[in-house]
Amino acid sequence: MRGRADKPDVATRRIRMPDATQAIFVDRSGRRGRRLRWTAYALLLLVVLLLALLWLSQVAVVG
Amino acid sequence: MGTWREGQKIGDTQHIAMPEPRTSRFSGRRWIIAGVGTLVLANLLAIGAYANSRFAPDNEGAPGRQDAVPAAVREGGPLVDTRDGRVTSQQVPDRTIVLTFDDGPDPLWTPQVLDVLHKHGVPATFFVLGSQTSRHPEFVERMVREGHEVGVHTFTHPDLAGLSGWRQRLEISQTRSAIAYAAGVTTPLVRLPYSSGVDSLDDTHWSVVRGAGDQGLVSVFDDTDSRDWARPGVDQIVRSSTPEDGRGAVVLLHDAGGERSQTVAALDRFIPLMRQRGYRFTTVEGAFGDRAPGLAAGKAGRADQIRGGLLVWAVKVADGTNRLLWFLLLLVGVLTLARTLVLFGFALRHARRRRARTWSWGPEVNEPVTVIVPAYNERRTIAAAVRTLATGNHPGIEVLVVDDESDDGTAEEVEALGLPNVRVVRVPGGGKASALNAGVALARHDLLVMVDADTVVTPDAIHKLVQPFADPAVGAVAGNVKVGNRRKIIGRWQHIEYVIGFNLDRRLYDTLHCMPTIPGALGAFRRQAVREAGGLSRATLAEDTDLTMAIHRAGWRVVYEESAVARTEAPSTLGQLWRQRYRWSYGTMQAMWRHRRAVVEHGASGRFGRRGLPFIALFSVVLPLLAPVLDILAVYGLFFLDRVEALIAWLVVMVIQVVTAVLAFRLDREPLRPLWALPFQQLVYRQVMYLVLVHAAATALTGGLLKWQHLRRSGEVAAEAT
Repeated sequence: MRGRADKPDVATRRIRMPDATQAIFVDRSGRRGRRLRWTAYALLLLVVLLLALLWLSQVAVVG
Repeated sequence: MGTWREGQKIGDTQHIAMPEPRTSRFSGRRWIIAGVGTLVLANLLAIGAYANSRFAPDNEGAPGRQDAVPAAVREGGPLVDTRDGRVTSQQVPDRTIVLTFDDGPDPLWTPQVLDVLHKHGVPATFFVLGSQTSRHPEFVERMVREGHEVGVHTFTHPDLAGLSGWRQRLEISQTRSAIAYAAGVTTPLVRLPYSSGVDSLDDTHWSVVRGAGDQGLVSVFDDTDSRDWARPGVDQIVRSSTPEDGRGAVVLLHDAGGERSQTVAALDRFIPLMRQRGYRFTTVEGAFGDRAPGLAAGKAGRADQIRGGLLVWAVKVADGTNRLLWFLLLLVGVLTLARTLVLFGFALRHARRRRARTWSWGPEVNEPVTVIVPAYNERRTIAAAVRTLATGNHPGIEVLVVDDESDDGTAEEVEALGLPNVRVVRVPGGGKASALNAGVALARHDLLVMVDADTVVTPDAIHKLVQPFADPAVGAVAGNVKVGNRRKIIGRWQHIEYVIGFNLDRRLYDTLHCMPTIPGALGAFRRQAVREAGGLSRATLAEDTDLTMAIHRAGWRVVYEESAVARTEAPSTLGQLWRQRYRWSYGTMQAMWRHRRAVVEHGASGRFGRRGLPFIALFSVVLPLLAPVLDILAVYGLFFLDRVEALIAWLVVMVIQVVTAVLAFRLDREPLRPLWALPFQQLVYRQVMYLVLVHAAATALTGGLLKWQHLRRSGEVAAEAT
């Protein structure tokens, strides 16, 4: 026979207070930073690639 | 500012709950990104400068030696074909006109020229510039679509004879690519910049013609020069364009490079006039095609179109960047000037009012004061700071040192002083805000003064600082903080910055009722105001700015008392300064964000939100963030523009700053001697300051953690006080 546990006592559960000291701008998960960083990497890489292509295409014709 | 959490401990509660942040792999890459970003910007500026080369559209100077130019060419026609090693010259058939337009396309004049040609049903040949084609490819496409011919007039209109071989080839190949992208055609025609008739072709230009031939291009000169660039009047242009005695001619006109209304009007008259005389109009290919094969435009290859596309978009983006930078420079200039003028007006008025004999805050305030000194590992400086505070001439000073679990004997150092009006309380480590809150709770009096443990005050500072409380509406008072350690250049720079940036600004903010910060180094508060503001919050890293804004929002006045002077120990190395300012900038942004709702609120909070916050955001975040534009364009000017002009512009900015500095120093009754360091400050200090701000803004955006930094004290200010 399986035992049956009492239901948890909801009335005495700890109240979750809003954190008044929650640091502003800080993203604890780091997700925002990662997204921004990778977007910046991708954009920079694209621009650098395009610039490299531009210069190479110029050099190829002149050289 | 206070100093908290060093080594293993970090500042605020939210940090304590976090695992010790690891040194991010990103911190090394940050510099790589900054480097690559700078490289991209430098590239765009260089491309922009190249595509914006200035030129004069006329031919100046007499030709040089002509020995190498074959007589058949010199005395021949305007079409010179040197392809495949041959040298042939062709004349335009009689009663035939080939209209040629140089220097375009131009967004204003080229469509007008095309309209006139369309109206008369006449084809023409346009020798376009690559740079202009990149900016306005749609007009080149229209030229080809409407049956006109397009030729190369180089990319930037240089005198090719003065350039090396590779630059000559580049000028031509780039223009061909741009045409290929714009209209999908290749052209075998070129007109060399500054060329006119073949009779003026000299040896150096002949070698350019030969070089163009090696690239498969046929050079087109002219028979009649309209000289429309000189704007001699419509009649004169028509006269100059008209060939003699029914002979044929390649006519030189311009559809860009200046105001061309006369050219458009002259064209509208010239075409019917010549038709009346029995002339026909055609293109270069139409006039010479039967004798010189291969003059017709071909279909451009995919590779050439891609190459042209890259070039066209590079020029467009570079032009856009250039325009944006100049716009930002204008914005920075206008804002700086407005700020300087407002600062002058308000600061002078403020100083005059305060210095007037009749000025008074009200009856003298002699109520007792509790001076709260939060301290964490401040053994080197605390004794001097506490002694000056405790022996001040205000009646009833209580000094309350709140020791935040120092482990260097800070509390014992204070107790050893044996001063009767000094209390030390030890609180569990929780950061500066917590220590100050504890101080506020434990203070015996209702007037509170908060002083950093590294700050030394003048004997009358506390008394003067609390005088504004004679006005019951005043909730907080900012003191006049000066840099105490000025021996090193970095201290001197900060001294200048404190006097100009903080003290002059405070007079302005005081007048406008939007003081953003009561400095942590010296500030006075009514206990009630601090309570109504909710005490000191640990949510931001600039708890002083945060508290000040909250006090404003609670409806209290925040004022500046310039006669209450304190000397504080400023960072003595660039690294320390960087960290301190990083925290200040970040904290100020946090505080502004925290109080952003004030903008839409009613009453005192709304007044501060709508009047003070935008002002603070504009002048403490936006303007400093845009400041790099000044330096970028100064460097750009040195390389690509008139150096003298760039230098003069930079000097004008410098003079504005010197004048502001002199005013600020005079108002603060400071000797002017340290101002010799001001020019050097512009070369290192200013750049460091905005880099810090960019760094802090980036951290705010990415949501990264920023921990408290402990400033290593030299004890220089404290030593001088004892």
